[in-house]
Amino acid sequence: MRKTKSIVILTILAVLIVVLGTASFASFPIPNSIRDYNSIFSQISKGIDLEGGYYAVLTPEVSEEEADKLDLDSVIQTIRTRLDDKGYTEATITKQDVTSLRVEIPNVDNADEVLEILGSQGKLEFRDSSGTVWLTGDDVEKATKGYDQDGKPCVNLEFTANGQKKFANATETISSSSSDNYLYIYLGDTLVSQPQCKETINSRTASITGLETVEEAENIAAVISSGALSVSFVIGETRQISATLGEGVVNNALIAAGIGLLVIFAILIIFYGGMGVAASVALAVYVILYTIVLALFPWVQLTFPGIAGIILSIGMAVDANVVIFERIKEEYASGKTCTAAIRAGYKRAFITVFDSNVTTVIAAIVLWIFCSGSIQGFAITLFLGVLVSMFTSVVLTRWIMKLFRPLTKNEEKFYGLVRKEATNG
Amino acid sequence: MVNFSFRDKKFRISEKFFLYLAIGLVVIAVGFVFMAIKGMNVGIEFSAGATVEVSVKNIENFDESSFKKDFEGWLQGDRNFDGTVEYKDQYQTSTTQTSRTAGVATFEFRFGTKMKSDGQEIDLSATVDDETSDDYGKTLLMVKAEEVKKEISTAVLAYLQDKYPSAEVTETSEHFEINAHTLDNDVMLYTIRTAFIAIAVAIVAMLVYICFRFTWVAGISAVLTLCFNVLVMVSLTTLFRIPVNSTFIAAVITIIGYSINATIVVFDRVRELDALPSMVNESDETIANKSIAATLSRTILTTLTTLVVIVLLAVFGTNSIKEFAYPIIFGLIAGAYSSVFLAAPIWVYLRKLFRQSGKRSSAKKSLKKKAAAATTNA
Repeated sequence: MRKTKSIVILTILAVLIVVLGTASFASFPIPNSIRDYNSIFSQISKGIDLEGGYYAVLTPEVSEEEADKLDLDSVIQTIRTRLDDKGYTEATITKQDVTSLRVEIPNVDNADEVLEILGSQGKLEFRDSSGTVWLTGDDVEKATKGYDQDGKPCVNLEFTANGQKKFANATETISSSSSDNYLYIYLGDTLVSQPQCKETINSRTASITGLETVEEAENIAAVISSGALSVSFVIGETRQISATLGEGVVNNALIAAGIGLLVIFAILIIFYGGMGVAASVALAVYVILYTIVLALFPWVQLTFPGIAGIILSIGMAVDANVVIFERIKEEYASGKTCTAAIRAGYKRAFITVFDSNVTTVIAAIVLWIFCSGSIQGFAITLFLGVLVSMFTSVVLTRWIMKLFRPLTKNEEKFYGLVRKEATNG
Repeated sequence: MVNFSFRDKKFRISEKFFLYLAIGLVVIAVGFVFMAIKGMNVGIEFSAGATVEVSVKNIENFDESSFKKDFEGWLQGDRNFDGTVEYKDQYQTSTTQTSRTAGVATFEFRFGTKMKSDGQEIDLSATVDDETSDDYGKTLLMVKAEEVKKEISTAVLAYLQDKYPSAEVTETSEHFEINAHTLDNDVMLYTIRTAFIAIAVAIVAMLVYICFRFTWVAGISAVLTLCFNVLVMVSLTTLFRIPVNSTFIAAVITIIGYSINATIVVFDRVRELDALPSMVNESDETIANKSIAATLSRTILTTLTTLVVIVLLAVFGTNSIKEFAYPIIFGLIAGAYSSVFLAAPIWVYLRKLFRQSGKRSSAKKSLKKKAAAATTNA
């Protein structure tokens, strides 16, 4: 009975691996349809180095002498913040011809819009009908995208203490004004919103409503919170560029990883027999699960360093199993029964695996917090990979080994366990 | 099935600590001396440089791939740009239209700050100090970008005239266009600085964790081992003249994240043996040697499996993947070496230095027990 149950579960597992494995990595045309099936892997968003993107040259709208004095570094910082806010952590900024900026962003649907945001000076101003400026972007501490009572997109502003006072003053004056009770909110030269003021509002928060799309709200929030640029920039040339690392990087890496996995399976089975089989199955599950996780998490953008993170976590997944199996061998050699050796091996080796993986996770979190760009991408993939691999290499292998038990006549032999190991010392 | 174990072998690794340390330090020293003399092979991403764009327009049956190949050959071979040339091929788009414009192929060539001119290597980041020159104060890069542009222009013209005679390409015809720009590297340098700070913070955070879970001597030993691995990696990358680009930072971080594992596995065994009552009278050297022996098969197997993937990556990879894979291979080998020959011996040495030698944590426990027993008896 247990035997049948084991066989059924293992068969289901094998079928799942084959089906999901194909779904993860194979893209093919759907029969009787003009559309293609795109593999889960291909749906992971990829950075400019792997898939190409666009580049644009931003030139400051000032005279040459003024351009020479311009503090481009702070401009770069601001643009960097805007790009990171929009999720383009992989974008790069380079100074070109001393006074211009060259911005490279990955493949996006609305490249022009993204570039507009980058160059926009982003000076936020609250004016009254006479044009007097009551409040600027400096008085805003935080700006986030949100929704108003009607469910329409808006931007929520949080003022500084000073900003709150200014806002109260502004609303007091405007609401008591005889001519026009509107507050005009300008971003650069565009009027984004003009709410009516009926009373004095003494509040830390306010929102800009009357926006058309969520995108618009997101962009305005990003521009306001990154701060204003000292000058505005015009977009010179824009071009599409191919993958900066060259064509076929992803495919080559996939082929290498595929063959590498097969070799690892072979090594594991040669050295650990039945335990190696369990680890190989778990490793296959790991690769599939990890691919799905990467595709699901929206802030994951795969770049070449990210691929490095993946390889590293494959290595660590294997390492966890090697540590556990070595321990089981050792426990068995010291005289324990097979079942007891496996239990003791998992129990003791878990501490080792836990400590070594937590150390790596700590490093990944620090890099995630402190770095931007592709190194952050690396940290994210590494972090997710280690978490997934902890599950597959510790929990899953043990479960698979339990399923193997009813199917084996001689567990010791199947797992390659030896009482007394050869000694030369 | 293969069974190999070194657990019961009697190693004398800790006793020869200085020999193994010396071997490692020699490798590091050679690399750094080489670096002082010849410098690292800094890739285009990190060095400042110039970019030249070549657009070829409206030529019937224009073969992009052979143009790319021939041109690359010319740049690296005949023109001797010494490997510091990369090109990105692009398709022309207007700001509103992202699809490929018919009949236009654009290629972008990037140059580093070093190039060969008349058989001499010149550093383009130097500024022109001849006050009489028109270019006074400009960097050579800005001057040379124009020069390179002219040179490429001539070469492209000759090439197109030769390969596509029917198009009747002339210098003034609308068949090709060349643009040159200089590129700065200070944003990249800023990225590197941030990465360095982040790595330092990460190492401190790992140190704190290891001190908390193990002992502070183990923590310091692990971090020293880690630094050794990175230094060997940098040294060998310099020695083999592998271009250092942003992927190198990724490689360094990869090795930091990976090699700490091997060290932790060794110290995990040290911690276990240290607490065993049966080890109470053993010396630090014996504990270290036994730990190395017990973890050796794991170190070999794990390094082997990871090496397999990385070597395959290097074999199948493009140049940029190779630039990433080689430093990783160096780091893996350094990591395997240091986790066997250095990590535990450093621990033994540091304990000697701080007069902790031979103090077993199991002894402390049994002492406490004895003390407790003594008080209850009294």
